[in-house]
Amino acid sequence: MTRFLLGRTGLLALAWLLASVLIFATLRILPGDVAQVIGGTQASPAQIADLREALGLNRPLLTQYFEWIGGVLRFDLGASVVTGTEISAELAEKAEVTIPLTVMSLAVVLLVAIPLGVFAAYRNDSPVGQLVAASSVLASAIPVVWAGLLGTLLLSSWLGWLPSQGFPRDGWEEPLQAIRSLVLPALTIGLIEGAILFRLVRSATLRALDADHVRTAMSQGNSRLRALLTQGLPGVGLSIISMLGLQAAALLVGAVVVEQLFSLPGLGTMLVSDVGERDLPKVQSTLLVLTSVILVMGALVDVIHRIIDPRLRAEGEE
Amino acid sequence: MKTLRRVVRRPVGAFAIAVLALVALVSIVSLFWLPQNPNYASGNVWLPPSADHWLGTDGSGRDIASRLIAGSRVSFGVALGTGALASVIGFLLALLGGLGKRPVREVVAVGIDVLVAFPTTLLAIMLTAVFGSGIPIVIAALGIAFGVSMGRVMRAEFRQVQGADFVVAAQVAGLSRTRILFRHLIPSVLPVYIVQVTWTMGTAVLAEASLSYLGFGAPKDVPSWGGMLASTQRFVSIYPETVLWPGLAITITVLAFFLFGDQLRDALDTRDPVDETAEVPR
Repeated sequence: MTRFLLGRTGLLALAWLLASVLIFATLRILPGDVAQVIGGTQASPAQIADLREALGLNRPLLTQYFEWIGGVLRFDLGASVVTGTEISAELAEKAEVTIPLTVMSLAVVLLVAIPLGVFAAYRNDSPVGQLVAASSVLASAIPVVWAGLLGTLLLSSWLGWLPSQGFPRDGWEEPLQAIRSLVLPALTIGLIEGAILFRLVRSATLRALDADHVRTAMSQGNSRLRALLTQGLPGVGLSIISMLGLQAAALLVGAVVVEQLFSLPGLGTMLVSDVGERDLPKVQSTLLVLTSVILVMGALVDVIHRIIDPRLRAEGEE
Repeated sequence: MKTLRRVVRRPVGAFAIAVLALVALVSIVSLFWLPQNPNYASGNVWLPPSADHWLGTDGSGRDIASRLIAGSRVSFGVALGTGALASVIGFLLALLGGLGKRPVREVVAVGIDVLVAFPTTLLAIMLTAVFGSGIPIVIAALGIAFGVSMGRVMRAEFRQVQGADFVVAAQVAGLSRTRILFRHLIPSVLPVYIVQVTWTMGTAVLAEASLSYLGFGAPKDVPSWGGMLASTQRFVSIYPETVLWPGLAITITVLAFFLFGDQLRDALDTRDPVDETAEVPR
């Protein structure tokens, strides 16, 4: 186990370094002149030169990279070129919207995909099971934006149950209002992303129903349902857990589009407007933070999977 | 050809091929002829459908039908471009990572794991931040991201086929490496590969719509389905039907790609990819 933890941490560190180099290199080396990009076409050569100096672009690339990465390791992400505010403070503020939104969408994904996936597999031979499976293909073909618009139309414009746009100005001062304004966005991401997890749950359950140990349980006089619940589902649960890292990453990224759609002041909306304002240092740090979160979640999921899956544990002890 | 005939014979397959052929035809026709200029703002806003404006006009007085028809070439073009680029990248990664020398294989494997964790949308946003928005940028971002996912799936396929009896037999019989590659390895992974490409193309249409919606895809003066959703969004409660068309167009096109992939898989009689967590690229 210790060896596994060390190896996984090493891989995480390596992946993180690679990702940071990738982000840095794309934003610095490819475009030619970062100052020109930030300054825009109207900036005079003198302004561009000042900007180069202020951003430290005249120094060697390696120095710039290590300064950035050294700062990030001390939780100092630098300052925005447009507003001059601390990037880390702003990220923390925006995360108050994005993290609850991601958690709520994850809840929707799990609540939709797991029961329906198990049901569709258990009733695979009946028309209902086939219908559920077919509608999941349809759901995965719907663009998130459109799903959100149709949801707004139904739940907000016609039924008037939920607010259609925005987030309370006081943030979490009024928790109920804040949660209400996240319900529709979370449902939107959750239903579309849930269609993908659904397919995994269904195929894992189908395999479990056919597995030797489940068939043995049935031959011992257990009903098919009982055999599935007691013998089959633990394995299905492990497949789900191994997918959760990727799933959470997809939800975090889904939030970028959906926040824009519902005018939520989260990380996604911030990233989109920063790209519009060509605030490259901020885009660079934000991208690294988002990627770090995704990489760390992936590593955590691997470790948890390893701890609770007896098959993997046994493999490691040999 | 035999496979295609098998796909067409089933209703779902026929539907998928019909839709894809229609979208392809419409996007080719749109290059030469459109009912109206899709960017001409006539001033007659929110007109109901008529003989002049088949689906009415939008909030800037532009003809919705023309924009819908012109938008098809963006979606279809991005699907084709991404499919082609992702195939090349995925194939090269799989070849190096599956069949290369041991150190090369492991470096590629770690590289793929890192890149897969880097989300497609973020890659596209990053490239847009640097190069500005445009359809080639979208194709580059999606092609790289989906190419890596394909490389991951195909690498596992190559590794599995390589251990199969018939490949070992060919090696024992003294066939050259290139001959084994072209006569045995590539033909056996090709079915899974083709199905992956079809799914990738469907996902590319979805991703392009999201990016164009965010303003990171098609430029403002190029009509696209995602862009249409962005421009009609504010009026969804007043003119719901104008939001209906672009969304429906995207959904049906993507559905056709997915169903075509599923039917191809059944007709080619391949199993699902070895690595099922990578089944859906994003």
